[in-house]
Amino acid sequence: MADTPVEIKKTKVNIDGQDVEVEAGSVIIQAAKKAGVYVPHFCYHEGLSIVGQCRMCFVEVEGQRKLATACSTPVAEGMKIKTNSEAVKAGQNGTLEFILLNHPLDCPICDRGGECKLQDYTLEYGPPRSRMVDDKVLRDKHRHISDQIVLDQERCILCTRCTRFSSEVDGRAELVVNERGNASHIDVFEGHPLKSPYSGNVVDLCPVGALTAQDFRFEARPWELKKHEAICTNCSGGCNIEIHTKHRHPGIVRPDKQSPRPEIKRLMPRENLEVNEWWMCDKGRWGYHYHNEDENRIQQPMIRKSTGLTAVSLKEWTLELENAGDWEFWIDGNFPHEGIAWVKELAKSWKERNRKVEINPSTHGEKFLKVWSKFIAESPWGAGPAKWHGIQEVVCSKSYRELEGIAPILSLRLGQRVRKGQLKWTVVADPLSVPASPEKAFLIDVPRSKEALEQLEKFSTKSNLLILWRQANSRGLVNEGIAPTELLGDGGTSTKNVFLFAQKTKNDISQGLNAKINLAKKLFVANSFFDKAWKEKVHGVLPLTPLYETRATLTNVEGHRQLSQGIHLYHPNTPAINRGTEEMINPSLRLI
Amino acid sequence: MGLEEKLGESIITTRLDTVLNWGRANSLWPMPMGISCCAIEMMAAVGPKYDMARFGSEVMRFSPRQADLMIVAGTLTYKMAPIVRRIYDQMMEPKWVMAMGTCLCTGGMFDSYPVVQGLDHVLPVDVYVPGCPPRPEAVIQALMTIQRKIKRGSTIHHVSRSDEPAKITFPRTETPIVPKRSDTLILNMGPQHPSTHGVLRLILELDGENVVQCVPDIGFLHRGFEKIAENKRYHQFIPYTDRLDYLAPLSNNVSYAMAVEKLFGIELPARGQAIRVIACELARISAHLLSLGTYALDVGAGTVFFHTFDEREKIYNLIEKLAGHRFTTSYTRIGGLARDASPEFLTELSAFLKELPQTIDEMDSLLSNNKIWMQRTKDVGVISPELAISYGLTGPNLRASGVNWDLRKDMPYNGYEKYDFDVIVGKNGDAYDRYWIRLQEMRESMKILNQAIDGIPSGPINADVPEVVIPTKEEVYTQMEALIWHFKVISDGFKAAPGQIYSAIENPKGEFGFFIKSDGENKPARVRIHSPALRSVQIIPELIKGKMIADVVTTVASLDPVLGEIDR
Repeated sequence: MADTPVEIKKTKVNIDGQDVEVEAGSVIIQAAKKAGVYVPHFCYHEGLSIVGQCRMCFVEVEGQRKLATACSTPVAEGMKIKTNSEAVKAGQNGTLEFILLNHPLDCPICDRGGECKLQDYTLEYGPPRSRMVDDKVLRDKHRHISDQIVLDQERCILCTRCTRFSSEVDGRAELVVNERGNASHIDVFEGHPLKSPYSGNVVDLCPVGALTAQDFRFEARPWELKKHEAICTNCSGGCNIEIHTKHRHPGIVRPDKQSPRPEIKRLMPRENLEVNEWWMCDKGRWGYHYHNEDENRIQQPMIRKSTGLTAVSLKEWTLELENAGDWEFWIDGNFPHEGIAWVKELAKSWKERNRKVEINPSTHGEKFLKVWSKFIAESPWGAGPAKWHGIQEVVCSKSYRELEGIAPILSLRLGQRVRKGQLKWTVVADPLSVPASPEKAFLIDVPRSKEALEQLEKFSTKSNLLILWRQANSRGLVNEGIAPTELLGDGGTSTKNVFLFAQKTKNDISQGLNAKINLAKKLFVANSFFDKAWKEKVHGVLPLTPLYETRATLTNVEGHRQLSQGIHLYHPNTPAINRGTEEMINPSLRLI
Repeated sequence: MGLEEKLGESIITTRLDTVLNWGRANSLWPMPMGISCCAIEMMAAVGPKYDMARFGSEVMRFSPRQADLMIVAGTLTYKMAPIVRRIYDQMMEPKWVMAMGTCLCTGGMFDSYPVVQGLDHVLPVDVYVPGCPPRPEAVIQALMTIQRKIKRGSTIHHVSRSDEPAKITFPRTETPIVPKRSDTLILNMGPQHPSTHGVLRLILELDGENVVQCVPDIGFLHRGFEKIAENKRYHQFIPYTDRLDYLAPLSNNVSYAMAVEKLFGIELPARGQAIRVIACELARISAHLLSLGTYALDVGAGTVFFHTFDEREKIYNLIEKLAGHRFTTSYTRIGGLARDASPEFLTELSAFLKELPQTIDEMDSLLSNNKIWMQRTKDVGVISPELAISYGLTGPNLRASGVNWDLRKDMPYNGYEKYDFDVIVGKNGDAYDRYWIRLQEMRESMKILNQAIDGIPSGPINADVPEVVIPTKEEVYTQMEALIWHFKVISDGFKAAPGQIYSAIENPKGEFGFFIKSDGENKPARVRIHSPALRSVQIIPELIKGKMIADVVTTVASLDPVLGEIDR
């Protein structure tokens, strides 16, 4: 989708008296969008093929006897289109009356109520009262078509967005329309529940409440939710998402001055054609629950005393750092650019006070950075975002299906092109043995071993190469000149004090760090949530604001540097100690 | 039993605890801390129908030192909280507290900055009575619960909870008066005083029995209505209007609905208008009955109160039949009504209208030519027509001064021009005339009601504007389209075109109006409420300056203020 052909012919059309110039061959609905005219539609979606299924997008084309569907009628030179004539209104009204004939009276118990296209259109274009006197057709109402997805066949209006997603975008074709005519209904094949790791997208696509996710069912009403733009942190894909939170008392500060902490209710994808198009994977979508576990949240600076971890003042906490000896700072791959900057600053100020501080010290890492610097300088993809235009072949040690666990959104995006025949996917056990060329892209695993690094060193630096980092900002660390913790394959020894800077996501900290944690003389951790990997061993804990609650910049696996706005959570009156922000910690630590 | 056998039949033995508790439980003297709407239902519980005296609790004591049960009734604001706490502290041990109404349980619907979110932030509470407001039956049940609690308790080792501190910080109580002379006495009247009709505070400077000056202090019931309105969709605000002038909720509902309808340009069909007229006039009779009953009670004629409250109960039953609620009705909808008036309701209403004149005649004969009543009210609190107009008085208080101004006649709405009734106008503008006007207005309201019942048109009650008017329940339960429209009209509301309107009707207390400004959203950008009683309070200092202190009570009662709409 991101890479459309270059040659563009223009056609002039007139929509509601307004002249627009659009690409030849595009359909009326796209032309209308360009003219700023909204045409109601259920089945049309930019990321899916066009079927003209729902008949909601009727428009009147001058000279044509019948109404045309705006989603499937290509524009022609000089076409005159009306989107709000009496005939169009009658058509829309009739379409909605037909759709509503068999629609169950579920709005009060339906999760989609309030953000339902059918409701919105009925209010805007439909009839206010019904003429239907017969009984409605009854179908299966809560059919669990996977662990997460529940299908209500009665609510379905048969727009087939879900089946088209399943066959075109996902490629598994698990959802189908069964039977024909009045008996048509959406279903999975008998005994084959949805296995797709992108199944959550069909819920977003469903214009009504026919497909709902167990995770969000009966949890909240759309108007109770606040929406915050963010970047998913559960893998390195960097999908653009919207966080929906539920506040109990929006805007009203209690007498105790504490506003209740909002709960994340769901994550939804935001459109970004460069990264995730309109989609996101299930792992990211439903991987936010750690964030709602308030009991795991680090609220205050803590120090381990004889009675266990005890809350202390920040001043008392910093005293623990005195006379502690040599330090290793470890920044994990989920730490955002803002955080990296202040850790660097902290290290600098400590060095000025004659302390020995190293950030992510590892010989393997340094060697990697040296090798990679040549790629940054010479590769067309360099440090910046990968440019897929013109790439005809992908070389990887795994098939794109196997890649779903590591880089789900990359796999989904490239997989579509592979199935369409626009891209060749070559699976080679050792991708770096294939000679490089400008139209080839290489996807390789993280070079944890010495051999892998040596092989990378020998490889052409002018190639299009992506390392499939796992953590949200590992690529960002590389760009900052710091070796990601993911590179640590072995245990190594460390008898120094370790200060670990990490941000909790659904995944634990990097495997390689476990050894460092276990061997550290004294372990200090700055994080937003407790993690079982280090909770028993830690000596001092500093609270950070969780990633979803701060403005954070992350660089994804393809090198897109993206800003996550996060949840605007706190009332300005909230004491800083409860915010746990870097504004609080950074100046204080520099005084040590 | 051994001992009792020997003592004979006339003597029984029991524990001292039990006797004392039995005595305490059956002779509770309540301290009525009436703050707002709930106080009216508390008065109903004392009234003839419910008769709290049956439980040994008829002696309402406004002095804390004579009371042992504090019934707090109404919305507690931060400004009022220290007063409630102080009066509680002044009560003798043992003492009990009843929190009447949802506002005192949790803050209720007033999730706004001036309102304390529950009485237990201020006092230790024994019984919570939910309801908005609770019915008198609920008050009686709560009383019985407290009786049971007392009987269970241990007397000898009574555990007092009165040391529990308040959980909120109280604002400083100010006394905004500058004495004019040095040899005078400053006397504080209210906000907790039976004759201030709610939580009005009058600060009086006295020279002996003469009032040198008077400064009213309001805001003890400021609940933030206008700010709340900015955060509510148009339909959501209707229940709040009930609690503005809580003596005439039906009339408030009509006023608000008409204002929003004016903003949207909606006209009601004839039947809807006629039912609204019935609602308004019922509210007027009910409000005037209460006004006169408490007026007479304040001046010392307690009998009238019981007569009027008996009639008010009958009206409440009628309203319940009409709207589904006896007190806070929320009867109107934007562009219509919550439900139609049934034929049975109309029959019962006309039967009631045949009985009511008898009570009004009784009141008339009890008071109108009563020598003491006339001495207390004639030439007291005289308002000249010019003064009344300059202070912006409206309603009965204005007409008592001889100004013929009634919105029903002068700017007719809801088809009032079709009804035959007279605007009663007084001559002297004194407290007696204000009494007399209300008495006569009830008779005129009966005329209107009779005409409305006889000539009630058939047809729909709601305007045909589906974007605004909610479909009927029957349609919602059977039609998909109606369900969607209902869902969206309720959950998303509807948007008015940018603009502003002012619309007012003749409430029992005078011109009650809403100014609504819309900036095109589904919520109003600004709502301002024109309160007739606020003007009445403003004129009080003018009227009682240089008069006797006994006239203060008469003057205030004759002006009939209601704090719910003054403080808003």
